[in-house]
Amino acid sequence: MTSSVSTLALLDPYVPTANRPWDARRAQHFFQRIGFGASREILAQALTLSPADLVDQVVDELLSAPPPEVPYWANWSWDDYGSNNDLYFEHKRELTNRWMREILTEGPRAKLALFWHSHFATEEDVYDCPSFKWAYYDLLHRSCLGNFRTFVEAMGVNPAMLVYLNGNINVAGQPNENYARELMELFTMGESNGYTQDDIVEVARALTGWRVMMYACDNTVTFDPGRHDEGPKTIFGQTGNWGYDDVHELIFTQRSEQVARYICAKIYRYFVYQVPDWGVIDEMAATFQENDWELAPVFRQLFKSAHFFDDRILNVRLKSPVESLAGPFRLLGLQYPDHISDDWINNLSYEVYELGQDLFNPPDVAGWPGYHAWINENTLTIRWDFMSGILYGAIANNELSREKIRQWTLDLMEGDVLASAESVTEVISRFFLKRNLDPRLLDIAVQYFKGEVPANYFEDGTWNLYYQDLPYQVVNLLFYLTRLPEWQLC
Amino acid sequence: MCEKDNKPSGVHKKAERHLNKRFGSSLLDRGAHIQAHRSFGRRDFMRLTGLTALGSAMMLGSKPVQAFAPGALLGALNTSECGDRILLLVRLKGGNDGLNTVILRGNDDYYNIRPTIAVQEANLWGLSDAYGMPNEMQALRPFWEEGHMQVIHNVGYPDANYSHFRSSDIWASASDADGIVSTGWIGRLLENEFQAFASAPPVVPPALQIGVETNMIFRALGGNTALSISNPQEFYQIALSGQLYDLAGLSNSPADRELAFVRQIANSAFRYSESIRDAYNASVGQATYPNHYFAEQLSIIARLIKGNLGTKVYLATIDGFDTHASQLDSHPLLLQRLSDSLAAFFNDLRASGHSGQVMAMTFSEFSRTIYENGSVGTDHGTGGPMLVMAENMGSRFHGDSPNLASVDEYGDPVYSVDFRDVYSTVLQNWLCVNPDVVNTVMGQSFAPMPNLLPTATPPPPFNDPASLLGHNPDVAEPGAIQIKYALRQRGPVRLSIGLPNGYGIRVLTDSFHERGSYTLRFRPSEYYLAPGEYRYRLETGGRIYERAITL
Repeated sequence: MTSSVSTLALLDPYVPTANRPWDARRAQHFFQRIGFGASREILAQALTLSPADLVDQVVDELLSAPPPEVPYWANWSWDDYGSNNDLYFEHKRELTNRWMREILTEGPRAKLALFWHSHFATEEDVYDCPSFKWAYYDLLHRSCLGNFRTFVEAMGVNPAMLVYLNGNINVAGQPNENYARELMELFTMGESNGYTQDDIVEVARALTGWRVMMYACDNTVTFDPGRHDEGPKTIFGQTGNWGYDDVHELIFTQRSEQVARYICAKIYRYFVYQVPDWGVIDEMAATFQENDWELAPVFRQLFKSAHFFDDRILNVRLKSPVESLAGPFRLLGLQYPDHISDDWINNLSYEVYELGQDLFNPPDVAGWPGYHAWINENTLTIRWDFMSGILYGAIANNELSREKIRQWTLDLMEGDVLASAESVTEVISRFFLKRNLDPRLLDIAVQYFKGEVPANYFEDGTWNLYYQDLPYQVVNLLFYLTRLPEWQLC
Repeated sequence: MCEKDNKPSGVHKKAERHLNKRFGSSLLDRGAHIQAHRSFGRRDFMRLTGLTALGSAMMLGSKPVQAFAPGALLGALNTSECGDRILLLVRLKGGNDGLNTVILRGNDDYYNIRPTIAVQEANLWGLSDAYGMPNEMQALRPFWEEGHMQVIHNVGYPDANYSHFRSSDIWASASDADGIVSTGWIGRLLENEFQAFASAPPVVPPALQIGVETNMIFRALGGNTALSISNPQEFYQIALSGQLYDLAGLSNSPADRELAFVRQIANSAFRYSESIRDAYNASVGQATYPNHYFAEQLSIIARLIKGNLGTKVYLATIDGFDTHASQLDSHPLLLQRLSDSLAAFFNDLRASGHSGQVMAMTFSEFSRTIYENGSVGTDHGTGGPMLVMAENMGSRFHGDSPNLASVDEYGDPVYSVDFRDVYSTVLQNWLCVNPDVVNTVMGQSFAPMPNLLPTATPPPPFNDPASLLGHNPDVAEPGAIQIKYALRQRGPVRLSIGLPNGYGIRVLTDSFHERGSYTLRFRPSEYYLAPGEYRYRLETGGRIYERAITL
């Protein structure tokens, strides 16, 4: 039985002290949680700001980010594809790979969108249409830090969701409860948290009338008054001729506390720690309601807090497959397309699928269970195998990446070309794992770093940071570090 | 078809292609073994991870896998003179100076071109009138004089490469100088031996090395066949606690609780811990070993041999032989460590009655220039001596010692024995591998050396119901593949091909067969098999035989 970290101060701002310094470790903590980690350069820039200014900067960037670039096929239906299956597959894959590329190169928005993907889960295998996939991707990315209520309202009439949870066939006289149930149970209020089975039936009736031509793969969403149930409905004890907007009004006004607490708990568990701290969550929930369901104030407050930057919150998150596999690219500061090829993005999409995190295809409507469910004897060893392929196949095999790794190492060692193998190992280990390695493990890490370089080169001065094979040595070290259980936490 | 079939099967091929290239000094990968993996059942788990070294798991040693079909090495157990034989490879990393290891006694050229570093007559002991060893290697003298050691002169290969890394790879892969081979000679042997290892792995590591795994000797197409233990401390951790990662000493903080969760899984994923702990505890350390890293490696290996672990091949490495400068400060010490440790090792095994099982063989990526350089050292050269030690093997020389008066265009003597002749001989006459298998493993035919070892009788054919002989493109029908198999008993046979993760299985034949040899021809395109990595599987007589294939 695990207990929460409730002894901590609540959401007071983090003020750096000698015991809790504002350093690369904490800055990396922020970037790993809001995104997929940061390079040394980004950390150096971040540390020129106060923690609060950094959080504001990242959040502001997210808020002002332009909407995702629209692909030319965004509104294609089956008629447009004709019999061109290749193009159909290409478009589907394009979007999956695009998201993977964002994970590897951009970070925060890709991470937030992924969080909401798991929250408002749909499965491409079910709706199976590129234009629906685009509409869903676009909504997740545009709304990831916007107004939550607006987000929910848009999600219910998103083509992918209309198909996935049968809103499409929810018609007067033949209500389909699927979306109504999940709207309350999974998307807003939480299971059995302020609604009854009768409410589900009545909400389903109120949501009738929306449709999308799923068999044509036509993403035009329409409201058909003829399919809408015009009769009176009783929701949360209130009777009226409720429609789509009324349902949301009722949920967000009559059940606002449940919604705020449920959503903030979900945010907390994903971005802070899986074991909820209800005191903190209650404060987040208050902020959420005070700001009329805007997400940004909640994230700002949370990420700026002393709670978030407390030592006890560092390295407690069990990485998802994308977090684990994307790590070296992010931390080394590798860029697309110089260091990261389209082929490898493609491979990574495939590998996270193999590890149970197929983008656009979560296991079910509850999204990915995450946390301990990510790792067992099996998936852990597969993570190792995939990681060694990434390190040697994608990274060490690219000359530009090798150059980048040498420069990265030199920068990390602050230009100390003559730094010892031991100190390089220690610094890189700390950078990658955000902790000091146990001495026994550090000894082993040094051996990996020294690798095939003749032992005497380290003594006679032949070896230094300009040594020809240094990038390979770093990769050898990362091979070891990413095998350590510590790597699976961030 | 669903989209998944259109996902890049190229992932595997590509990774492999990348990995087949050289990575300079960093041949650490086993990532060629990137395999698809859809469902995470125990069986897939085992298949995926193969024998991929440290931490790569599959199952715990306490639960042996019944489906395991032993090949000739294990089949030979108790059935021939070589059933329990063990090979210890000793790698002298950095390029050992052979001329100062096996001294050309009284050779004027030697003393003329090495005015400072030559080993003087007073500082050596005689292997014969013509050859000697420096006194630092006195510990080996009884082994020579009592007939337990042989010297192979001037071992090398054509068109020598002077790069540490490239030449190490050549020695490890047994390739030609211009051949890029991504697997090691022992890796190929063991893969051949444990054809089913991916789906039905052995419960003890077939090979073991101490040191970070950067050498490719043990690498096979399906992964690394050796368990690598990075250093003695890690070994003791496993041997004493049965765990790879410490669970004690973690606090109850959230971070430590989560770390404990992952460590626990990593520990149970490490499948060999139990067999190692058992072997370690079944024996005791006896002999006194010198106090340094190489000696410690041998002491651990001896203890595992004495505990009857069952591992067939060990690798120990002694580093520091790249003596470009001030060679006298280091080389004699290294030779002393080498000799003292090997002597201690064999004496240890003698005391417990295990010495007859073990043959030790030294090798190095190259020897050094015959001339000393301006820094009182030597630079990269070509062929060098190998020492071979086994109980009662006799004391002999093989090959011709370097002729210092006749050197090639680079100033190096011409090698006299191809190292692959040595490997072939050891495989055939020490490990009793069938000559056909030896040729398969070596990729070409090398002549066994006379008199190195008594000719071994290959073990009787293993009494297996069938053999999956292999596959090749059908020359008569472009695009088609032939799979060959033989049955020693009649019965139902199912031959199928599928993805490495066990999915996408296509049955190629499922019928009753009489005894005999068969060739099945099929066209991958007719079975909608996209290019990529697959495994084909023969199921008959209650056994499963599998091989990898690239389409």
